[in-house]
Amino acid sequence: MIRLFNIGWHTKEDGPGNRVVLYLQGCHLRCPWCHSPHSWDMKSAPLLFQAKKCTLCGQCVKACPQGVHHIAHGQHLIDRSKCTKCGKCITVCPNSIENSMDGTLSLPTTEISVKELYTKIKPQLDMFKRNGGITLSGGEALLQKEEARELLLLCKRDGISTCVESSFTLPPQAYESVKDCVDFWLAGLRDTSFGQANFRNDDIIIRNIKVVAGHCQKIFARYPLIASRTTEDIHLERFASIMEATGITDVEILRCNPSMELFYTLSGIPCKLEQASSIPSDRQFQKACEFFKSRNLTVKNKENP
Amino acid sequence: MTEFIPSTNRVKKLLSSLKDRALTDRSGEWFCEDDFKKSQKIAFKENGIKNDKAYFEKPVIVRKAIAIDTMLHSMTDPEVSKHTHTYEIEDGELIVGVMPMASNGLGKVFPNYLSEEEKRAASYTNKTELSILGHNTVNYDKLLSKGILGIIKEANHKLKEAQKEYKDFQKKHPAFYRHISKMVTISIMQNSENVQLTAKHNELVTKCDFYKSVSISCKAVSKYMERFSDLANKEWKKTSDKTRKAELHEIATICNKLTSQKPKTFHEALQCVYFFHLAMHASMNLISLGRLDQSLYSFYKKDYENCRNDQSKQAFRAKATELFECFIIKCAGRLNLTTEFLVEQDHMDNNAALGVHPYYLDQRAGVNNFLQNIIIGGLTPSGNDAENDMTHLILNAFANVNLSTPGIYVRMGDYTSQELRESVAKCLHQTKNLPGILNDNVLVPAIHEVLDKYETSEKGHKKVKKLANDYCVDGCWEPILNGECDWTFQMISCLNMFQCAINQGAVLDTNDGMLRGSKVSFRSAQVHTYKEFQASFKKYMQFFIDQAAFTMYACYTMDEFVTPSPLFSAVLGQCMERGRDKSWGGTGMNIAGVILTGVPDTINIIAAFKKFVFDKQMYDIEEVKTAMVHNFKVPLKTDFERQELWNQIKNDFDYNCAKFGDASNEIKEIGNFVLNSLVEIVDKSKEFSEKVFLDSLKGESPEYTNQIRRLRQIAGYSGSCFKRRFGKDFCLRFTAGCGTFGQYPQQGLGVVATTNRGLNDPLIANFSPAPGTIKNGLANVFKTFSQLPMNKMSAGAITDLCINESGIDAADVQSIVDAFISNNGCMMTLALGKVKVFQRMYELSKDLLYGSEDQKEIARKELPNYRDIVVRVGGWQAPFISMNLDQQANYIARFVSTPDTKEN
Repeated sequence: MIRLFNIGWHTKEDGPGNRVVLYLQGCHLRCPWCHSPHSWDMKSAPLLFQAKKCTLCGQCVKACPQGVHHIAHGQHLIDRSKCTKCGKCITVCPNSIENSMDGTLSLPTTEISVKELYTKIKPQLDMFKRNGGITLSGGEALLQKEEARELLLLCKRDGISTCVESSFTLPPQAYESVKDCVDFWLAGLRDTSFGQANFRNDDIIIRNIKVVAGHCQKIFARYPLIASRTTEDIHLERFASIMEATGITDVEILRCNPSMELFYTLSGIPCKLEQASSIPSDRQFQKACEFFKSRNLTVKNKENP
Repeated sequence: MTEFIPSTNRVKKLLSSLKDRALTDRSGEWFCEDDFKKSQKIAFKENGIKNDKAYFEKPVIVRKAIAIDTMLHSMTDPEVSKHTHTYEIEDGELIVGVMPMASNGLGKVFPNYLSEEEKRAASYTNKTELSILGHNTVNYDKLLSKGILGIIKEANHKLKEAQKEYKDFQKKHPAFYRHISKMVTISIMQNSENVQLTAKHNELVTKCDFYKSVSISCKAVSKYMERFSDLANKEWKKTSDKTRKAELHEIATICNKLTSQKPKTFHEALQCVYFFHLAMHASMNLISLGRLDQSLYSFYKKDYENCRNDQSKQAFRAKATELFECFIIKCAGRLNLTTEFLVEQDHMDNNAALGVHPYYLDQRAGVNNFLQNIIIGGLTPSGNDAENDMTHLILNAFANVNLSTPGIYVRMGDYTSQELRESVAKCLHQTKNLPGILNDNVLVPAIHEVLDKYETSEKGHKKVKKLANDYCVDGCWEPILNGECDWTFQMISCLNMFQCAINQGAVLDTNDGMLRGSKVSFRSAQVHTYKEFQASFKKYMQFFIDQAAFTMYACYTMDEFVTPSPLFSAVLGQCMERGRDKSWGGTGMNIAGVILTGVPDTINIIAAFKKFVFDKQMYDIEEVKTAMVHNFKVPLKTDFERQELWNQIKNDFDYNCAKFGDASNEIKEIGNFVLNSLVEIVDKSKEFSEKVFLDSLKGESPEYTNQIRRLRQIAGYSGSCFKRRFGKDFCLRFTAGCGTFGQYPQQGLGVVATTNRGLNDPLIANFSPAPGTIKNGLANVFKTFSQLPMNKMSAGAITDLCINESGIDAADVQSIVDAFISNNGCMMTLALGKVKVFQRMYELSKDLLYGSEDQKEIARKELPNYRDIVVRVGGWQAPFISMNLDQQANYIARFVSTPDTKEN
């Protein structure tokens, strides 16, 4: 069974061409600028709650056997520590929809057999087969390496282009296990010291990238640009060095997601960064672009597709 | 891929002029009764009619032909043209002639040709002169190969033959003619020995009337051409510009030439098609232009091959593209781009174009529906790929001009070349809505199967194979035989069948005075299981389809006397060979479509009932019906417990069950049940209606004869069998399909809440998923089609999709179209747009109608900026800003997410 918290049915941002993107559950890094904190838990996302859509009807309070929900003084309070994710509150909520994040309450993680999932996404994969394919993202997709491999093999059997996004910080076995069935890699080269400029993990990243490098068509680096965290020369220098060491020539600069705080609010997970101060200025963005270009790397971003 | 040639300045100017005109008040351009007075006198004189009395003594078909002549005269009356602008040549035009104002939504104006008594009698069946259906196409190959004079000659020759035969017959049967002084049809003398003679007499009289009418109406077209030649000459004299002078000279020459010769060049052929199309529309037959890439190709090819070198060939191709673009602009001449002046233009009456009930359609939705389509690509009659250079040229012209009318469809299938696939995708990407897609993989076999049932000989089988390969669509999307058939159809509400099945023959009604609901059918037992529901649903389907089948047969008993179409019949099917108007069964092929409306809504509500009412038994059927009637809002606001239950039902119905387009097994099962039942029941209704109306009773037992006569009487018909009336080959070939056309807001009115829609909300457009329910990617919608018997939908089933355009390129569009074809989708329209832009247009449209004066002023200024945005309404394309607010809101809700949706 594979666990995922979302499917992007048609995106052009995560790999070459049109991609179906599977966002797999679980991440060991928990980057403070992550905009999907609900992906962190290895098993499933916490209960998401959209206060704006709640009518305070109290149905969830009655339905929940664990006493997770409280309504008092016009407020709906949730104690997620008691939540067993049984979904009863969603079933009774008049503004919630099972298997959808659109409603007041939701449990986004789905557990499904690889075959069943493949059947579900196969029509869309077939439609864009000529110019696109599948991307496994996350979370950290390869934390579910067996399931990921099973799925990737099905795709390869049917001639569907495959792409995996990874931080390349997992043990090498994770990469060994799928290297023969991945066409493209998105190397999310995040700063594993989270802004502390600690380079000790870089060798691991370089080693892992080298495991897959000879087996795929191309590796694209992705550089998260977070103000005061990854905008200094020392960070840029470090990433350029990793790219040079691994022969990666293309980098995509990802500015801090302007909706970064959304899922922290919905999931009740504390956000360690302040969104407003994390978004890089245009100057910082230009500087990063120029820096990579000066190192003869090809920069791709929305302003320069 | 063939590169698209850009539009010339001439075309850009003409296009801009048309759109500017379309933003003004066009109510003054409509014809009125007084406009016909002078022209009628001329037409009477030219056709030897002394006065009104003499006119109304003529058979209806002859009167209609003279009325066509009157109409075409009026259109070229300089005085009348001062307000109708129908006798003008705009600067830069290369194709000339002006269609009078009319549309499917606004109605038509035509000289009266029915007597007062005929009108009074017609009030019983709601037939008027406007009851003409259109929805068809002409055999343009025939027109182009003979020319208008060729058809007149043919009609005159056949008229002479028929008159001679009549005289011979008269001489042979002097006793029979002792009491018949005039050459008019007479009543069949049932118990007389003269039955056969009467029938033969009537046949010959009808034939003579028919050929006379064809001749009169075609001569009217010829005279119209001549008058435009005169006008071009006048303009030539006035113009000093040398280039324009030469163009006007050529126009005058072509118009004149077409009166006496068949067209020889591409320009002549195109002008000929336009003149005839115009005359058809002026005589109220709003019809399709058919497979123009096939009809025009030989003319194009000849001119192209006559070019001396590559350079001149290239120049000719550019010129031909420009000509075609001018042709499109002419066809779109009646466009209305503002909704401000529609009431003033409402010329609709109580006409029943389908059946005998007034034709209540969503008029605003049909304002710019002129029922004119062009169909390209597809197969040749012999089954080869029909793609040619004209296919690409027409696509190129539409990509440049991108008007909402005429519509364009491309027939595609497994055989379609990569080049055409790419061009279609490019055109769709560029225009964001054109062309519509017809899938030959399913439509050709579907049509063939229906036609082949009636054939017994090898020759017959071959003939219908050719006809199926050569199919096209009418002015909406219903498949018809290209210039070979008469076509009528009935729309039946599938949701009514569902409601009757769960509510003992009554549709749920918010008026509690109706007790359990409006009684539209027989009462049956309450259903308790899904199996019982299915059985009940099929019985009601039979009930409504029997009604439809009988109605379509019944129309043939009256149409000849109200809406004969001699001009149309001159180039349609076998009418000329048989000497019969299309309304008198002349075509040789008569197609009758049974089209279910609201099928996706019905499939969705059945899925909800099956899961929660029948299988899981979570909700009581009576409680659910009551909730639906009350729009899921309890009448007593303090009844919180009941409201909670209704909320839960609504939530489950809307979100927790399978939906049309999700490729689930539930939808596969229910969809197959509904569509297979439709096909099976249409067949049964066909057999029954044939038994009642069609077959001769000669040689049958007295018991059987009495039984059939009784059935005919019950059905309101007491005449002889249709095979005697309309010829031994006459029969209605029934086709089945699904669609709601542009009526989805109107057809939702009065319908209780169902899944994903509230009380009175619009139904789902045609054969598409409900707005907002495409959760698993577009491809799973297409997979749904692969699970359904689409190759039995001989009357078509069209899916209208709209997707966010951001991030979508032409290659993506091609992938979408290819997936649709390979998954056995039947017909598809695709619109690309940005939600925010559509929302802005909606706000402005609303302000224009209901805002303050300041808001109206802003709307007037800003709305024209969006005049090029064209979308699919249901059966046709429409400029978004010309649509009504319901339609606009419904459209906005339909967008399917694509890359970069958030940025929209």
